[in-house]
Amino acid sequence: MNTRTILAPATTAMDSVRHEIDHVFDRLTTSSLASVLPTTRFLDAIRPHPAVNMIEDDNNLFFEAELPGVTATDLDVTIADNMLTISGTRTLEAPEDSTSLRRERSTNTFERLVRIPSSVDADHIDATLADGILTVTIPKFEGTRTRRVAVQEN
Amino acid sequence: MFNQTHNTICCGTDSRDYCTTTDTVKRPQNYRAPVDVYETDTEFRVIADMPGTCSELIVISIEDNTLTIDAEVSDRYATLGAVRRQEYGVGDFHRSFRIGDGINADGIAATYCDGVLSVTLPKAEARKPRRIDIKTA
Repeated sequence: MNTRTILAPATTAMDSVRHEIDHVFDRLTTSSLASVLPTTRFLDAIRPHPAVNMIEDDNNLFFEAELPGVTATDLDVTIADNMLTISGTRTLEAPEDSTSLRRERSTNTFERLVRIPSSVDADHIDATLADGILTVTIPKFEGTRTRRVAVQEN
Repeated sequence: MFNQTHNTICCGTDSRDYCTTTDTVKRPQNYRAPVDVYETDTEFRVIADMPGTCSELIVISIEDNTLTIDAEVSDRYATLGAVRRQEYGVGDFHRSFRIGDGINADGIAATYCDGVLSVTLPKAEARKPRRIDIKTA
């Protein structure tokens, strides 16, 4: 049985380097020159990154992340230059006057960047948070939707 | 106080290992949910991250001094579409703890909100710290 690492902390220096490289490469592929300039993220990159699953149906792309204990007010979903950013904070509420006996759940700010394909319509993005699961729905452009072709039998 | 805690919700010999799990693998897609455990004068609180389930699908049971939490997670991708990139698995959550006699099993209560399960285990009356009034002679 695996322990689900819900917000895996980036604790090593290599993780922050990787994060920065990801970011620069993602920016390099965009057309705007200004966005290629180094960002200030390197210094504050010690953040957990929520895992993201990507699901596709005929008309939409869905990005899903498990964020238990996060409320909609503490969550930010933004989209810019074909980068989807999921960020926020979660606070763990301990009972009053309590002693902690075991601590496996992580708390902190978190941030995750995901590149989205150009085949989707970022203007009609929709995000829902239910039972600790964030689902970001992005419709595909008309031309990139899957169309079924009826095969005629001769 | 320390010993009392020790007898009540744990069985580990290491002071950091308060809640030794007695998990057994039911099926491969079972996950061990991360938990926090707190103690107050009157109760223990077990808080577990179990996203994607609902209160009807969570079963909390006590048998042979073992508290078991089973949460069924429906296969939401079955109807949603094809998984193109998977960074985490989706499956049921399971966790179990050995608890001592110091818990009032009838008083156990639980809430599920925003994917977080919170189980309150009240201490048995005899285990609660009591203040003794000193009478003047």
